[in-house]
Amino acid sequence: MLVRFGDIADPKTVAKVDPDDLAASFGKGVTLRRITVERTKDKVTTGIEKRLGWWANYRNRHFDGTSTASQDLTTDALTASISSGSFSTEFNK
Amino acid sequence: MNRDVFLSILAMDSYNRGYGQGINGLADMGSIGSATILRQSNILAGSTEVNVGFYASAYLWDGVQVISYRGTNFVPGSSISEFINSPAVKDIWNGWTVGAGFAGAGQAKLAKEFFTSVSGRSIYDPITPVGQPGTILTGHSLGGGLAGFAISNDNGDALKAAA
Repeated sequence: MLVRFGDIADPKTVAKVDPDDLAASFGKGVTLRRITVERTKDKVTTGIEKRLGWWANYRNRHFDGTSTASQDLTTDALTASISSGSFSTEFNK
Repeated sequence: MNRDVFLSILAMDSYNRGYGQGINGLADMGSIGSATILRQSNILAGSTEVNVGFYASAYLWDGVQVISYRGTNFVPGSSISEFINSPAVKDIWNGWTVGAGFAGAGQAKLAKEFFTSVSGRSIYDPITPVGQPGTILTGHSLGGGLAGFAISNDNGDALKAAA
């Protein structure tokens, strides 16, 4: 899943991005041209938490503020289902 | 449908949702029979829940909340490494130990937290307030044990467990 933040300082502004239609999110002419994938034995890189100041506050909370102890399945709102841990399996280690 | 039969179906349903599910392709949202799917525990890779092999789902059935705790996943793996990290070993280490008296086991703690998150009250609250529906706990195998563990902290007036 690809997402973007309307306001990088506000996790509630998260929104899905359609990889087949980047123009819908980023403007006319924006397309995904290429992704290169390579196997490696290098350690997993981290650092996204340094770019997003609110990161640590959503370790155990969804972006809508609810606890990750349970996820509300009566809504398809993205903010109700993702938290900081959604972006890295390393974050909860 | 008979109440106990339907609660047994919900007990098995928690095996088939979330992560590591036995049946692929079921919708996350919606309903099963006359029960609406309300919530599920954390399914993120790397989360405490997944690391200790815990999963639970919650439903609204005839106006009453029902929590279903998943039981043991007997998926042994094809190598020693896979076996050590298999769902079955996680369940034995973090769940079966509750039955041996280790109330601090990972799945016991998460069973309590999930109950509180769904019901809005602690398992240590004495009883459901008069006039408010209680919460039914169900589960199969280890899931039934976790339901029993949670109910053991309650006076029993509000909760019923089916194993």
